[in-house]
Amino acid sequence: MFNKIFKFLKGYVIIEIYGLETARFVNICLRRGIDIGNVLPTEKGMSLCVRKSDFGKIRSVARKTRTRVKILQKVGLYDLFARYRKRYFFVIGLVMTAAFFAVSSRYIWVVEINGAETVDMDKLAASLDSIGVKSGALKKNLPPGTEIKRRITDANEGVAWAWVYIEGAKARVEISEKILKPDVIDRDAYCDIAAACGGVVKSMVVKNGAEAVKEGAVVGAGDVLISGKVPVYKEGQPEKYMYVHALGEVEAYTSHSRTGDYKLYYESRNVTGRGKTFYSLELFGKRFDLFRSMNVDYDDYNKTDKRNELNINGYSGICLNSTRFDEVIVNREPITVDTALEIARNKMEAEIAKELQPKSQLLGSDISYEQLDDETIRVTLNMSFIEKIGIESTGTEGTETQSIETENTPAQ
Amino acid sequence: MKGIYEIIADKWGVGKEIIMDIPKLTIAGNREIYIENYKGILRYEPEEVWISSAMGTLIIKGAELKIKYIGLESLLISGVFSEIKYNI
Repeated sequence: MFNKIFKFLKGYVIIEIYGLETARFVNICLRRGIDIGNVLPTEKGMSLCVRKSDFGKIRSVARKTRTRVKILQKVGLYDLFARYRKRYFFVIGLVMTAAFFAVSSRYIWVVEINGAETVDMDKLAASLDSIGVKSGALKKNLPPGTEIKRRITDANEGVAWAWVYIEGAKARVEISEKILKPDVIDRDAYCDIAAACGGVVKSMVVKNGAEAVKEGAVVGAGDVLISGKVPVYKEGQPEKYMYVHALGEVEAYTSHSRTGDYKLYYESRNVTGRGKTFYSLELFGKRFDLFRSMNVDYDDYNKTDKRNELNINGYSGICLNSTRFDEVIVNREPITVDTALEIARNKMEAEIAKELQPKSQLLGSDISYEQLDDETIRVTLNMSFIEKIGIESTGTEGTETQSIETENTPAQ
Repeated sequence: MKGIYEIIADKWGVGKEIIMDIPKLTIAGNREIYIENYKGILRYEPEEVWISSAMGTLIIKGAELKIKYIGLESLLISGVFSEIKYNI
C-alpha cells in the first residue's frame, strides 16, 4: 500500500519496448540499477514500468540493444496536476468541495438525542439550545463536556447524567434518566376521595374524613365520596371545619361498554414486486426533495423510509433519504361472525382494561351486534365490575382554609 | 559425478546455489515460480519464458505467463505452467 503511494508520489513511466533484443534490454537495465517492474508481454515486445528518475538512463540501453521505446503512460502526482492544469472548473470544484468539507465540519448540523423516554423533550431541546448544542453552532464555541452535563442536569429534573458526543457534524446527546422515587402521601394535606367513574356504591370503609354518600347511592365520575372537610362544631355555635386528608375504600358496581364497527373479512397484503423509490437530500438539517412530487399510481402500497448518512470521520451533515413505495395487492378473506366477535371482544376488552381501577373484579359481560351491511357489523360490549372507584382529589377549599383551621380534632 | 563445490556443499551443509552459483527454484503448484540466482531473460512471451542461468537455459512453458517481480538476482513468474525444463 505505502509502496504504491510512494511510487505514485515519485512518478513512473509505463513504456513499451520493441525491437530485436527486448529481453537484453531488461537484463541491462537491471544490471545498471534501473528499477523496472510490471513486465508484461505485448504484441510488439513488452511493456514495463520505469521510475521517472531512471527514464533518462534507458536511452543508452535502448541504443545499445537496438530497441525502440514508446511511452504508453505517465503516472504520478505531478502528471496528474499537469493533466488537470487547464481544467479550471474541475480544479475550482475540487478546491470548493475541499473547502466546503473543511468549513462545514467545523459546525454541528444535526443534534441526535438518545435515551430520553420520560423527559420533556421540548424542555431538553430548549436547554441544549441555550447551551449552544444546536444546528449551525460552531463546535469550538461549545462549553466543556462537564459544563454541558451540569447545565443539562440542572435544567432537566428527570436527567441523571448527560454527555454530548461530537461525531463529525452530528452532536449525539446521550441521556440517562433518573428513576424517580414514588410519591410519598402527605397525610397532612387536605384532599377528598372522589369517584373515578360512575357506579352504584356497594360498600364504604372510611378511615379518615366524613362520609359523603351512602351505600346504594348512584354516583357519577368526580363525585365526592369521602370528604376531607369535617365539621367540628355543635349546634347553635358558629360553623367550624377541620380539613383532613381523606382516606378510605369505596367499592361500587360499575359498568363499562364499548362499541365499534368490524369487518367480516380479514385483509392480507401481498407485495407485487412493483415499486418506486423517491430520494431526498438532507443538507445540514434542511431537506431537499429530488422529485417534484411523491405520487404513485398504486391503489395500495407499503411505504418504507430509509436514511443513508454520509460519514467522513463522523457524520458529514449530508444524508440521502429514500422513501420506497411497494405496490401490494390486498386480498380479503371472509371470516365468520363469531370470529369477528372474538376479534372485537379482544380489542374492546383491552381498551376497557386501560380505564379500570386496580384490583377490579369482573362480574359479567355481554356482547351483541347488529348487521350494518354485508361486510360490516356493529359490536357492543358491556362489562360489569366491582371496582374500587375512590381516588384522591385535591379540593380548592383546602388551600384557602389551611390558615383558618388549626385544630387537630380526631376525625369522625 | 560430483564436483568439488558440490562435495563441499554437501559436507558443510551449505546451500548448493550459494557455492555452486546455480539457480534456486521455488515452485508453488503450477501457478507461481520464484527463481533466485538467474543470469538474465532470454525470451519473454505469454506462453514461454526463457531464462539464462549457470546451469543452462531454463525454459518455462504455459499460459498467461507474467513476470510479477524482477530484480537483479531474483524474479517471480506467475501463470499456468505446463512444462519446466533445462536446455543444457
